[in-house]
Amino acid sequence: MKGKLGVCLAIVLIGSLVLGTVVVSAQTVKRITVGLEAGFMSDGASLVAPDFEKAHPDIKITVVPIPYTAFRQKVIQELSAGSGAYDIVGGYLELNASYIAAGWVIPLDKHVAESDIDTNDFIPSFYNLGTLFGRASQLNPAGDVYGLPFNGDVMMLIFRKDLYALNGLTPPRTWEEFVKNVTKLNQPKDDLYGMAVSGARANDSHVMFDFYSFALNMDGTLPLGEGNKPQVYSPGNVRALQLYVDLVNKYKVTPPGVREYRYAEKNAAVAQGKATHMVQWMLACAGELEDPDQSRVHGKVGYTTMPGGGSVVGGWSILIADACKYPKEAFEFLKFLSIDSDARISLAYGKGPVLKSSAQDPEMIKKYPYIADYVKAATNGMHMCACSPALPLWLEITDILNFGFADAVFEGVPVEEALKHIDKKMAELLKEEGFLE
Amino acid sequence: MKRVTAIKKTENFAEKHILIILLVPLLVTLCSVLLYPLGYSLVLSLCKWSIARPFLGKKFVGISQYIKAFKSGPFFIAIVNTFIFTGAAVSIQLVLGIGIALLLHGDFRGRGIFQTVLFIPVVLTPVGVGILWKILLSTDIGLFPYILSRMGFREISLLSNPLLAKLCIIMVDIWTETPFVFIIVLASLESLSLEPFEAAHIDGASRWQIFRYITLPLIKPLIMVVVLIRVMDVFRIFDTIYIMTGGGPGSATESVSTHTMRVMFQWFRTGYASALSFIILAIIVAMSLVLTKALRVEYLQVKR
Repeated sequence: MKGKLGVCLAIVLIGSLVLGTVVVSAQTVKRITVGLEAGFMSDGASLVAPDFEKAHPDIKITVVPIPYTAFRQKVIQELSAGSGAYDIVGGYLELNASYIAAGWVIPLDKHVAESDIDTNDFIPSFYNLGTLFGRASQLNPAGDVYGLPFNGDVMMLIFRKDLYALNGLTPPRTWEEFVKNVTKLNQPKDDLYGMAVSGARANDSHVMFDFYSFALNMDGTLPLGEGNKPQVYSPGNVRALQLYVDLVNKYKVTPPGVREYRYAEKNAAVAQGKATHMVQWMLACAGELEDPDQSRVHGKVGYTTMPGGGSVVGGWSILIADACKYPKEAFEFLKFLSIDSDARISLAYGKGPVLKSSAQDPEMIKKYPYIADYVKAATNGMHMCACSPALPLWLEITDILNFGFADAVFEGVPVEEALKHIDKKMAELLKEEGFLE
Repeated sequence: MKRVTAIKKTENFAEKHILIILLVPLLVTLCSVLLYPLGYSLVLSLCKWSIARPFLGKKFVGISQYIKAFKSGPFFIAIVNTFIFTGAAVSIQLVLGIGIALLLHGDFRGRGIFQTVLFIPVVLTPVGVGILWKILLSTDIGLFPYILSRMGFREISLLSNPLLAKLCIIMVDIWTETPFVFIIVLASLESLSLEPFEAAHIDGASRWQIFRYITLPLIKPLIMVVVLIRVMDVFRIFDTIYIMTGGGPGSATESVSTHTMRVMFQWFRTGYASALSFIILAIIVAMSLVLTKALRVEYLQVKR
């Protein structure tokens, strides 16, 4: 009896010791969960996380890849519920505005001021995504800086430089040259088409990016003007949308399945040698186009600005959720991802560098000879939400834009009518939500 | 003595109310998991609220969101599309399912293998089915457009043409769910008594007459159950459409479920989405009541 009691006591004691160690270990380890878009962003973060953990043994990083099509849905649900599922989240400008307005992310002003970050090294267009171009405090007076840039990119004209050389063509500098090049390299009988454009009438379609790549170089106007007044209907935008419509319906230079094209399908059309041009996020698509395992045209693709030289700029920031238990530690990882790992992830995965110093890295220049064009386009380019960055309705507005432009191109709605309809829908939305008198 | 009396009283109470006592955990679960969310959702449907804009707060607007839904062009299009999918898919599934069941009814070599193979589409996940058919029907890389192009139809884009995209969605649902109808009808046929058929044979009835006057009336109640289940399922169609077309091209394949999902999870209009959900619920309940009544009538007729 005594022996049995002794054994039981020993088991209880050892068990408590083990359990206590586990519990104590769990409590001393600070776990930080990072929600990023699945692909090169989440892969890049996963690549560098172990190095961060080595330098900070009390911090454990978990990277959660989230597909783009489900990103805003998943992240907004978790942030609005305050579930704490994500401590660090990615966001593009439209999302950042929503996060900041709702108070779901913390201001980083104090953290940035106390750190050794040189904000002048950031390419301004990308840094501004986290400050809403200096207007974040209009949405949330708690601070001015809410995110550090993580990924940047610019919409460029992607073209088949091998076919250009074969046909004696040069990168177009006028819209007439552009149409000439696109129609010249359009040979449907050989299953080769002049241009892949975004066509899907969907939220994750890229119709509006394609459109603004034309419009910003045709004296077009950004979606909103003074006082958030919709101004999509304008002479420049009419010209731009008419060109888009003509590419599909008049010159017929687009592949037959173009109405199904979202980001991935457009890339695939060029990567598989089906289309000879597209307008696309340069560095994001270069990763696929230059990969011999994914592309039939690796080494044969050129990158240039649209006629007119202007580019649509975009990118992702990384922000700290309000529900994060360890904001100081989260900021350390934010800094590590945004600054310390910028060049490394860009070299490994083709992420757009956000630092001027990264773009000047000799290894970067060797791997991406067009990096100087990228920086120039990013510096001179424009974000299409820059007209009113502190507006928490961009998610809905971009849907109205995508659907409206697609209607003109693919549903036969006359261009002027389509643009007026977009303005009308935007005005209704803005008035309903109190952002337009 | 008092303690004994108290214990006896407790035991009598428990004996008398044992049913209620045992049902309490279930009722509590039902209330918390079903009734509370339903009630809260109903309250939300009467408020203007967005989870993405919490700073605007919740504003009570009464039934205005229901009125907005009925005036909404996109929601009306979604309802029309959904009724088209439901009517077309269920009727064709029924005809095909009964036909296949009649073909496979009876004993023959390899019947088990046929049934197993035919049942495969039902057990596939809807998302997997959507991805599979999206690839097969893709204009650029799909097998079917390739075959059509070889037949001279080069410019046909199955998922980009509004009418063809609708037909593709209906076809995929037929492909996926006909085996379900077939297996239920087959089970029903196998359970029928042989005497009426033997008597019909003796009387010289043709195969069509046997089917028309004996088989069909006997299996009609079960067919009505199948119709009820299928109608409720197809009306809520979501996965296939979301994966294959996203509701496009335009709004050609938008269903009530995809539209409500868009309103809730892409535009985060929580109150309006709740109102849409209740409208859909009301439509499904109304259809179920009609079909259940028809089923009861059929059952009573067969019983006679």
